Amino acid sequence: MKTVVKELVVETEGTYYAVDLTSTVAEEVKKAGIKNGTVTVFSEDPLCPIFTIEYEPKLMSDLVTYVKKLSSDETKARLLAATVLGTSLTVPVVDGTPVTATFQQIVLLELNKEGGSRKIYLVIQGE
Amino acid sequence: MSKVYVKTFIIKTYGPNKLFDITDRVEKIVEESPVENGVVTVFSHGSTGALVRLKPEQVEDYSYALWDLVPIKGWQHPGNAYAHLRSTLISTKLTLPVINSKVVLGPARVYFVENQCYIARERHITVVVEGE
Repeated sequence: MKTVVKELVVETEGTYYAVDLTSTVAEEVKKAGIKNGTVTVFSEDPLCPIFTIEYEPKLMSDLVTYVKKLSSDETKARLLAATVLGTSLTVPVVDGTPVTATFQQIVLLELNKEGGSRKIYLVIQGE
Repeated sequence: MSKVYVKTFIIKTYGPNKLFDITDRVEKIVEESPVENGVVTVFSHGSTGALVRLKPEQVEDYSYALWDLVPIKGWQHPGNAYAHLRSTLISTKLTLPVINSKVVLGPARVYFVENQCYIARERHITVVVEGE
């Protein structure tokens, strides 16, 4: 079994900006040469959760609506959402590909007051 | 030397708000794997289901409580936004310890949550056992 670690940087353009990481993660898994195992995707910034969702504009907008309802204060709502959604995600790798389904993307959501460069770590483990 | 063992299985579900106990399937995969100590990652394919660990006596309350987590109405995404939001919030993955070839679950079991209004929906679940 081997472990490959990769650091990536993604740019976000402001609060609630979402980045679809699915194809990036799949490319890195392919490059790592690991056929079966797991990939853990971790966001260094605690207010940039990473999770699975169908990456579709109306649904992303619904998610933001949900986030805003978590508190009457929007700053607090964003803090709560970041910890509810979580900043790490582990996805199985089968035959060299992360097993996310057609309507299941790996997405990062910006919950800071401003956008910026956000560091992502991938830990790919397996054989 | 670390080892990895991967299996995918299919369950048939119905919903909404129904929980399906997949503990036996996960335990069997862990037991047949060459891993004695490590972790097992359970992942459900798709963006409307979810995986949870609960005690059996908690399942009924939980299934009703899901309506409080995300109500069915009030969303823009057509039809099943509530199911997608629950899936994202609860998550489609669980990572559990494996000790002496057994999954550590305490008094709880592993359930797949079907959020959608389906009958006999096929759900794919992948299990990865990693360790020594």
